Amino acid sequence: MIRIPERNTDEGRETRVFMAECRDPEASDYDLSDAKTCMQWMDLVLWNRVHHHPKRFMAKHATLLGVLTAPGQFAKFEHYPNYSAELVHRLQKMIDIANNPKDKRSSDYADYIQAAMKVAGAPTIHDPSPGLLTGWVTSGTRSPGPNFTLYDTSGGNDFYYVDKDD
Amino acid sequence: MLQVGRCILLVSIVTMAITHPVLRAQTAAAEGDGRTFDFASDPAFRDYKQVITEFAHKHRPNAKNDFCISGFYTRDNLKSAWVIWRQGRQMILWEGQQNLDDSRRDLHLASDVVPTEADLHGSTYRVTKAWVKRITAVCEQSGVRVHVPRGITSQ
Repeated sequence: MIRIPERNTDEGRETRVFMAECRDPEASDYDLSDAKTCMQWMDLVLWNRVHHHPKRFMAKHATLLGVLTAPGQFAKFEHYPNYSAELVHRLQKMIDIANNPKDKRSSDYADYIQAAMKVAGAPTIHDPSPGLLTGWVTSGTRSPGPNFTLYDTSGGNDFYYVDKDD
Repeated sequence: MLQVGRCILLVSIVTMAITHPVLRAQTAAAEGDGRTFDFASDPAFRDYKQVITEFAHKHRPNAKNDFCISGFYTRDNLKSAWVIWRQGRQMILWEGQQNLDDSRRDLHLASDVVPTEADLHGSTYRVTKAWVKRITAVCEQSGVRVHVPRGITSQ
């Protein structure tokens, strides 16, 4: 039985963000390895924002919760631990599928959610970008702002970095 | 979100109108790099009429709904599409799910659009007016338009 961490812990916060934002098993081109990379980079983005000028990203506090609830930064998480009914329903649907062995998608969802929990509970990876990885956008949209440079794409998201001296 | 009561029978008499002059569902790139894919022949997307109709009847069953779909390859060569819902004033990312409500990104044009790139401040989801204008223009020019008439309900 899969249960995700409590919503008032950093692991719980990150697990929900990863599940909400990375390309999930319902997508036609889903790939678990790609999703894991997406989650690791998102983890890095979140903590880079905590440790490097959080106010630049509209955060009032240098905490994960402060970064996550910054106005206009992460869709449906602005009022966390309260978040939209649509997202609650979508995440619960993923968990329900994972916990239903009769559903042929069960193992895919179980792997996806366990990957999210594992990344959320592990140390942040070394920054692979030439600067500070501090942004992502849905692939196919636009840059997160004027000072961001594209690093790479993973899990249906384009990841961006800023210069370390910025 | 509209709730459909259990005593209401939604009779789905759908006469889908594909207003694009050619049924072949090839669209110009929504991302701007020129790479497209053909909805009609792609196994994950070829049921687009059914997916769109079910979404429309769930969220706005008592009125007509108009959509425009614009497909594109992402930078990592994966297939995606933007579904522009005119009456709902939303742009929904479609990655081949059978249910559009499973989308991981739905942009609300009333609240998720900012004037310029400088107003994004690192947002992971907000978009600029120029981006919306560009994607909409691409879709109107070469996307697939789907008209879903109002559903017929009876007690």
